[in-house]
Amino acid sequence: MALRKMNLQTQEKRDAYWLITPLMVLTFVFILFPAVSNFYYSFTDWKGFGLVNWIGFDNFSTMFQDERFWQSIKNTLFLLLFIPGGVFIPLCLAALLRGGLKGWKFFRGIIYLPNVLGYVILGMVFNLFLRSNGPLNSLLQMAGLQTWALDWLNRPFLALFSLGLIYSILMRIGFGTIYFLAAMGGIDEQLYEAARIDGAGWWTTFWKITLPSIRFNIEFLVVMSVIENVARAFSFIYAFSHGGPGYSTYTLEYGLYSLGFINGKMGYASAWAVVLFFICSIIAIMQIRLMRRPENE
Amino acid sequence: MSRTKKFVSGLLLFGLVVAMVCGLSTVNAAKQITLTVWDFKYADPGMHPTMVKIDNMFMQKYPNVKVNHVSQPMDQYYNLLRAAAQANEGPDVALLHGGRGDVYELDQFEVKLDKYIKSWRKEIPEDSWKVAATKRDLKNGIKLIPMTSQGFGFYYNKALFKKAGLDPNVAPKDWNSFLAACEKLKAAGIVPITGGVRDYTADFMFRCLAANVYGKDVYGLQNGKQGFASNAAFKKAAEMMVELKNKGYFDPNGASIPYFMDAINNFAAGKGAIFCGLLSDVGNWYAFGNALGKENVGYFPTINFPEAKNKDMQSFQPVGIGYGVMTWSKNQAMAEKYAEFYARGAGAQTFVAATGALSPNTSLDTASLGYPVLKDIAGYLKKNTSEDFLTMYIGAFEDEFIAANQQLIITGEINPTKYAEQMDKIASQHHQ
Repeated sequence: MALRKMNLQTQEKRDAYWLITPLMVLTFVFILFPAVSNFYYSFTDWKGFGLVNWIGFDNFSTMFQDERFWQSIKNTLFLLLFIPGGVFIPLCLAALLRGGLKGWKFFRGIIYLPNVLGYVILGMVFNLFLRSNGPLNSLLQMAGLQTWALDWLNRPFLALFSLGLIYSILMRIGFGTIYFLAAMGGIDEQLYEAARIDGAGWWTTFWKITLPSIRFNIEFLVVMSVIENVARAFSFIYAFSHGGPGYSTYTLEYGLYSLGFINGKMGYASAWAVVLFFICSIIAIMQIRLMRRPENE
Repeated sequence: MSRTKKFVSGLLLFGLVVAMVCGLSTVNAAKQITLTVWDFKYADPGMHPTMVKIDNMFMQKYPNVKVNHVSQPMDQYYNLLRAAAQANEGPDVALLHGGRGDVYELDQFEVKLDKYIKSWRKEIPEDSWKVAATKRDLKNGIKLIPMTSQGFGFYYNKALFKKAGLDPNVAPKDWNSFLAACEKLKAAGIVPITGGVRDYTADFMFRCLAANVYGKDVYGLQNGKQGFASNAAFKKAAEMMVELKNKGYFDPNGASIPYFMDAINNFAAGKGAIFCGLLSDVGNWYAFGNALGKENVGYFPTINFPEAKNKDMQSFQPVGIGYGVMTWSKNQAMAEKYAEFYARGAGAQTFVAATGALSPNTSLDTASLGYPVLKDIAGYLKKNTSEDFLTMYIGAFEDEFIAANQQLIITGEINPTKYAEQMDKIASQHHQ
């Protein structure tokens, strides 16, 4: 009997290994191997083809002297400044919609619309929208606001500001609102009832009940927004501004694409990828710790 | 016994038939060749019908060849070729730029064509063959057969000049007369310079102005004998660009208009008086002559200004584009014939006549096409050419850096001094 049980356990273990094998193979081929080989290539002058020559730390010393690298770090950090807006606005909207505004189901659909469209499509749409002869400036001129009709995409600061506003705030509103609405659905109604009896207003209820109750969800969205800005903005930037004008919307992620795949400096781009790897690792560690923490801590 | 005989005979007959069928199909398969060609011009509406026609001519000449012409996007083109090189598998023939770092870097995957071109080499000037060799050194071998030469210059719409009260037969080729012409055009409600500042307009204008700045000394940029920040004329050229922008002489919508093909089409449609265009392929004398009227298009190669010691220099690339044969091709002999077909003989003549391409092949006749402006261009090409300064070291790496800095100077984010310093930085990176 004991032997049979042992055999069954062994069989179960074997089956488990078989079941996870495809995933392990895929993880190794598409994640682990590229990540490890990237470290190797960052010490070479590989062009993406042909011979690979070991050049030690040359790529890293070039990178630290490359103004594009520092510009990309600055741009990435600047985009992070928009994250509070990208979290707070959906939070307020969700709190308003939770109360049941008239026609809120329709607005919920409208708000979520950007999430249905892909980043490339949105990038192109906003590129057309913000052009100097585009719809936004036409609308502003029609409204008599000529001085507000700016060259959004061709002035470096305006281009970066527009990118932050659209990518880090506007495009986060849909998912954020729906996510927070779902989270707020889990708050005990009795808490609101008690607050109402105590004479608490909307704002006090929001600060004292809603926010603390969904603190975990807020932290999670902040971490996700950081990832979106640091490591997932490439496709939007590619369609929206191509990293320009100049290097004004050039981020770390965009830079490694441009250097590796357009400029044919794969070794050098790998050095940039090493930096991005460490930044993403720190964020991932934060995320893991956050997920493991008890909600009521 | 007779039954066995019949069976054996039948078997032999069947075997014979099978052998014949297999043999025939093998012979046919050996004869049939598919040539895969990669191209970044093929999808261009101005080029496509002509290239289809030339491919058909080639297939008629070589009936056993099927041409599989694949259009690839320009912005990803060399990236795709690098991927093909890494896999050691890809097109038999690839369209390549002359004098471009990306092409030279693919050297080990490009077939040396020196032996193949030997019998007719004289049809194309040695200057062009030199650029077609890796790193401009003939010892490295010729890697592409030049289809076109290229250059940049200013086209102007004579009718709009007349409308603005300007003499259409006098090209505004000095800085002061250029400014005066722009002012008059603007006052008449005509966009002085079509194109704007989004991408290539500034780039091509710099190339025209640099022809006067460096002249025949342009090769000094390759070894550091010539520079940018130390050159007062180069800085003046940058100041001139900024002045044109500040005075509102560029198309006000230009920041939103891509050069290819929107700005080109705008000038061809008469939406603007002056355009910095190309000599070959597209946006050239042929396209504008057809759209605006052969007699209605004027030309000058550059803007003369006192700080630049040269005058009326024509910015020129001895090789614009040409086909190269890749080492992994299993049909190299036929691929070489294909590359040749676009550069000489009936194929090349069709290409030139239908697209206005400027061929470096001296045996081709372009004068008979009857475009007066071509006569002017030919005159400048004969007198004074300065090789395009950017091809002295351009690769994708430099290309992006230069384009970014051109955007910054035009948008006023950096001044001409900083721009010239940045250009020096790009050059020094290239020399490393």
